[in-house]
Amino acid sequence: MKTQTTLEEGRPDGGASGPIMRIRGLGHSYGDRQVLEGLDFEVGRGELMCIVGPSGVGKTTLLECLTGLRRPSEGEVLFDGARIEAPPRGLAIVFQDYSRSLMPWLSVLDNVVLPLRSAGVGKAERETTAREALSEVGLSDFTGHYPWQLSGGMQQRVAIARALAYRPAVVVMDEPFASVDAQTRADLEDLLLRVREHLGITVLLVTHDIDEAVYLSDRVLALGGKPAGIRSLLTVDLPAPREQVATKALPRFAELRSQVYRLIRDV
Amino acid sequence: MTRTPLAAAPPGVRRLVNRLLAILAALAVWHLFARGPGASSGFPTPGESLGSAADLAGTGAYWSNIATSVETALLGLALAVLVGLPVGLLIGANEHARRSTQLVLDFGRTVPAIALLPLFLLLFGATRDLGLVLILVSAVWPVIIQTSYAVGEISPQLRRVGRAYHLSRWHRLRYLIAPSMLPFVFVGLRIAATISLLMAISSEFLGGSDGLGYVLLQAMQVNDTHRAFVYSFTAALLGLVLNLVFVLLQRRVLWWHPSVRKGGAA
Repeated sequence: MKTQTTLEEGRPDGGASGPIMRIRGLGHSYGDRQVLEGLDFEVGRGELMCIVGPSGVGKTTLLECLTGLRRPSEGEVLFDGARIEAPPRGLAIVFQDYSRSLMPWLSVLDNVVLPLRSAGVGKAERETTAREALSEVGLSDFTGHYPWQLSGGMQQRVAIARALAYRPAVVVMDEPFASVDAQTRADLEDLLLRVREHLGITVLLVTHDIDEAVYLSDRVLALGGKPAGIRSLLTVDLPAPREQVATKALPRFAELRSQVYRLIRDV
Repeated sequence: MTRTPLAAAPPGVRRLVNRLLAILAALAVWHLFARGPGASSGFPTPGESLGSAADLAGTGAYWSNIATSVETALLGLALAVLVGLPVGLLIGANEHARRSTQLVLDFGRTVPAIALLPLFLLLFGATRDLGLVLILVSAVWPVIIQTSYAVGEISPQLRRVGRAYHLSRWHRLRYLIAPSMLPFVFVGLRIAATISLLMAISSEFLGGSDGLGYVLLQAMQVNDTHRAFVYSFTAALLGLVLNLVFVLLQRRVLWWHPSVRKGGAA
């Protein structure tokens, strides 16, 4: 089954050790207004880390610095040992606003294929990879559709497929499930856990939803204060696999949730 | 409430019937006017106009005049696009240029090109060049303005997608920038096309070079209201055809745009 393994094998970090991302003394200010200050942390290979914080705390700025879309005013971000100046090749981003991050003039398949075309992947291979990524998110039957013919949740799945087809070592997601309804949100969360389990990718997800952060994460990075810094880097010791009802019913889930809540809210 | 057969008909049929009724009503009013108050000035009835239209349509001169006017309009439009598109791109791409050219653009688009006609008539005489220049100086503005506006409308989110996924320069231009700008540039083109036709015929009418405008002028000078009517209607029909062409074109090139596509919300 050669085609089945391409998504899993093609990634650049192929089995090296040590953290995939290392953040050192990261800070950022817009003019005189300091938004982020003194962030130091590491993201392990294959880890799912959620960055959680209240709205307006600087989560998006942090994400932009982490992905190389914005140059931080202080400190540095290392990806696989190299300092990030622009978005690195081994990193894929899923944006919050799916309706603006997909191209309405391209079919679902072409949206997923385009980055691979730019990367010079051959026609047959890029189509196989894209179809595989789309089947990974359950959209095999919608390759010929256009994004605007799909529901919000399905559009976000296209964006996730685009990220997966890019064969990244790390997928960074900016509040990916914030603009869909509750049921779709739960489905997408479980989809993410399944895909991550299957492909072994590292996921860095930014959210303001504490439940979501605790439910998904191996570790939760709680962001708070002005300027924002790390309140805590919390290991989530909930059993795997996670399950929407059972996991959230655990006393430990409630404990962790209140702990994160207090970390974020108390000044 | 009484239920007439028309109300029971499917909406498409009902709309068609209503439209035909409106046209019939207009024709009736026209006919009555021509028979009554308009009779003294030789105002033709719809029937008479149809007769003169049939006569004129049998002559080669009628069609070659139409062809001349349409050709001038299209050439002028091409010229306006050729100049307007790059200028619009340059202005749009540069915040500084956008601010400093604001006044010139506002001035340019408000000066009625007809006011410049005497000057151009002196410079170019009664030639097709006159029409082309007139079209250029009036139709270039919507192209420049809409194009410069379109540059600012490329979504920052899509730009970030382009950067994050390392899209090549060509792919960014072809799949990201051009389609983002097209809806806005298209509006400019459509406005410019209407202006082009209007200016082509006006320049013939006022300047006296061959074309629909010129034969209209001739018909009026010899008080041939019947023929003048047919020429005026022809000009109006050309406008309608032009509009139809653009509606169809829009469906072809902007089929994905919310204003055109069928189904799907966001």
